[in-house]
Amino acid sequence: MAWQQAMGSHAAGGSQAPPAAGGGETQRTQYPYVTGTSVIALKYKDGVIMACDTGASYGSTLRYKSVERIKAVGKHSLIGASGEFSDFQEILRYLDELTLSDHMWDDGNSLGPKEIHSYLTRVMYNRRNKFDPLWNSLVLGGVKKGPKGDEKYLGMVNMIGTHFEENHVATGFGNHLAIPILRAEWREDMTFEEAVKLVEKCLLVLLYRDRSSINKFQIAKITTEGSTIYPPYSLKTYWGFSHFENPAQGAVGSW
Amino acid sequence: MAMRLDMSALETNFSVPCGDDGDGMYFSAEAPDVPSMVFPTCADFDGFQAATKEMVKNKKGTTTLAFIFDKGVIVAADSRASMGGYISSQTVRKIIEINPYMLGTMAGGAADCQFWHRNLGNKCRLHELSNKRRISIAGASKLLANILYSYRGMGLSIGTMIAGWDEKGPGLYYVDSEGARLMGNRFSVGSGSLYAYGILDEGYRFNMSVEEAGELARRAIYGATFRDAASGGCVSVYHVGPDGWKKLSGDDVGELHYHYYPVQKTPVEQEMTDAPTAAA
Amino acid sequence: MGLAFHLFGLCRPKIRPILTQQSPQSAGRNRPSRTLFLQHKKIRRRTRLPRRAGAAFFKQSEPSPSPTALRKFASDFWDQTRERSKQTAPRAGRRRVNLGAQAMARFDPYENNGGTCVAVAGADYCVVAADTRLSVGYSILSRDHSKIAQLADKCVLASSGFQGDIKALQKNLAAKELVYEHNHNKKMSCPAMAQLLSNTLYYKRFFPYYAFNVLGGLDSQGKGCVFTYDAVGSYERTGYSAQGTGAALMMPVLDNQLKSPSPLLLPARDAVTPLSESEAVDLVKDVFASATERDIYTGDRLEIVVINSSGTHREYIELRKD
Repeated sequence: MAWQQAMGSHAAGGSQAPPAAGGGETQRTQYPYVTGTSVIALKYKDGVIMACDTGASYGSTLRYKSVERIKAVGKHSLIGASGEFSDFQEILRYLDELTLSDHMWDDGNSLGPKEIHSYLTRVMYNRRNKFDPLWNSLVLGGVKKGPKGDEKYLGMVNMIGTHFEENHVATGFGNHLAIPILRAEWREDMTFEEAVKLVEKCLLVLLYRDRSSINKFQIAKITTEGSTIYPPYSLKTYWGFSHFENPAQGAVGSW
Repeated sequence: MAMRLDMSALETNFSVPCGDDGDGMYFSAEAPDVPSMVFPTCADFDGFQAATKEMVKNKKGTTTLAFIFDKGVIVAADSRASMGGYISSQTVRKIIEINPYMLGTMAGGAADCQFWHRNLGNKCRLHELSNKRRISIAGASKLLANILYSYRGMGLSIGTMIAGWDEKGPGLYYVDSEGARLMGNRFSVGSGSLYAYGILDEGYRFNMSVEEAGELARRAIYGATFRDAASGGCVSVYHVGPDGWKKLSGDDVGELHYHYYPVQKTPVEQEMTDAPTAAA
Repeated sequence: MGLAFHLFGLCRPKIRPILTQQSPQSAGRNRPSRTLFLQHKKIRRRTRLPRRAGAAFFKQSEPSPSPTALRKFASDFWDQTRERSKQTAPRAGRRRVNLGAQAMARFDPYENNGGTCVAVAGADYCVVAADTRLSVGYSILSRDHSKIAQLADKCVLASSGFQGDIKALQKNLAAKELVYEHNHNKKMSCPAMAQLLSNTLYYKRFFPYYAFNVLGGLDSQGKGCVFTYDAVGSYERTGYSAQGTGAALMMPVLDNQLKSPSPLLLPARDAVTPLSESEAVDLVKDVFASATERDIYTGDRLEIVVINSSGTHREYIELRKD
């Protein structure tokens, strides 16, 4: 579409902030530069588990190999991000500020995962309204004590503000490759061990088929006890599948 | 120094037109002037409009007409709205009752016409309240034309007639989103207007009874619905005289066709009989 | 504007924020100001006139060029420009940027998350229903995402389209309803909400909410009412309506079962939906089950809200999940 092509400088801000004389021009993100790939998350018996690899690509180059794409937010939530890494860092700054100001009320209340997710959806949507999107898909999971006992929460929001809650979510390639596995095997009452196994299965499929994923993964969990982000580790791979060795075997392609 | 949470990320690029200024724009007695339109902040406004127009496919397709004769003004329209090939409604009110003495017709974008006629209705009422007399048709049409001119080139699509009765007698103006405002005795607007003109021009006389004039208008719209696929539904005909407007007729086109062309009973020349069976 | 700059093969466009500036008179209000408009026009005009290219021509053909020469110059200029634009300007359409080897799509502020909404009004009830599938392209994001918002006690909105816009719109209306409630000490009536929704949609005429809405409820006489909209706010009161990806499949069936004489007829004919409340609910279930067979964006679960004098109640039935 023609309106998408304007690459250069154009004005920042909306009508509420008239640009200052001579200034006020900013560059907007027209496409992502350094990107992270899929994030997978699911609810299990005690809380939410989230996993992703630690790679960040520059185009097709696997530029950074040990970046953390899952972070804790406040006491009750975890955030995982795929997409533009610098935008994720910006979002983390917003969230730091938000949780700090929430903490300073010192009223015994703290923002739960639902509130953080709601905040994120508004940030993402409002940035898209300014034609200056944060180029991410975000996953937010958490547990918080509510009136009906511990309430697990897992939600997603994308760069234009589409958001929803689900029992299991996966961003990017994961939406195509991991979701079918999760739909087949996910249960509400999985133990942590079972959940880890399921997540690893998904990560492995992604590692085989998503060229921008790398074999260095991080798993994190959040329960009423708080969040734990485990140190990165690798999965054992097996590349000896006959189909990997000769992908064209038995194929009756037309060319 | 007091710390304040930076909420700039939550700011929208437009103001919410209600509530935040205390009196609430919708409900205040303040003049409902040009409302808080939201504009996209992309660099290429025209390209964006073209892209969104493609996407939302707003309703279009119409035949409307209006003419002045010695006993007032006749206004008539069909009632079909289509989005591409899909008929999205057969019951659209294309004749908008601005006040008891003034009617507007709509052709073009349904939302554009509806909204700006509503807005014009407000303005006319305010004029009436502050001047203790009804606005003239010329004045009302000019209000609308000026608004539409200020949005010229931004993608509005309106072709309207403002018809009514004021202190000078019957009035009829054609106003469109390209900025035109024409006074005249006879107009037809919309995709079926050519068909309507054919019948209207053929049958028009200045001296007519209200019934004759209403029938001419009905037949003209009917003719347009018959030949123009984007027109159809019902034919509504209004008359505006010194005592205000009155609806003369409202007919379903499906039934009207058989009113104009009754099914002729053809005499049966030969009665069909049962073929003789082998047994018989 | 971007296109024009490509045509002239100039460098990057340096455009002032023509559509976001405010004139002093309109400060505080977000109305399209005169200056805004003039600047808009000025830039359009500037891009149309081949002034810089013309300067050289005028210099060389002093004292003054003949009309024929002028016309030839203009036609040559546009031919050249068209040629140049073929080389420099990429074709319109969704462009891809090549970053390294990986091609990435440019930012598109809209997506269609699919779904269908239906409302049927009766003499003293209204049924509003929508499926709960949330999809984008061929992927299903969620099988249990509600599209229905209760805006007042006798007013329910169902919307399909872009989920981000839908949520923003529904929250916005709910907030306005609350303000109204505080100002007037009563809930907003359904017809009032209908016009508020129309205005709210139209205020974003130039950056539309990609939302297709059906509003259902009871009017001040307790009769069922349905209002149906397009994305930019044209609306109409009807007896029944369907909106969204499955609308074209459902409307013919609803017309077949429920069509009543047009309200435009004169003399007016009685137009009452012939169904009882439970029959209407069954009809809605049927049209959804049928549309689910043929619309890939409709399915999973059906959420039905019934509004009558005793309040609202919700029920769910399962739809095909494939």
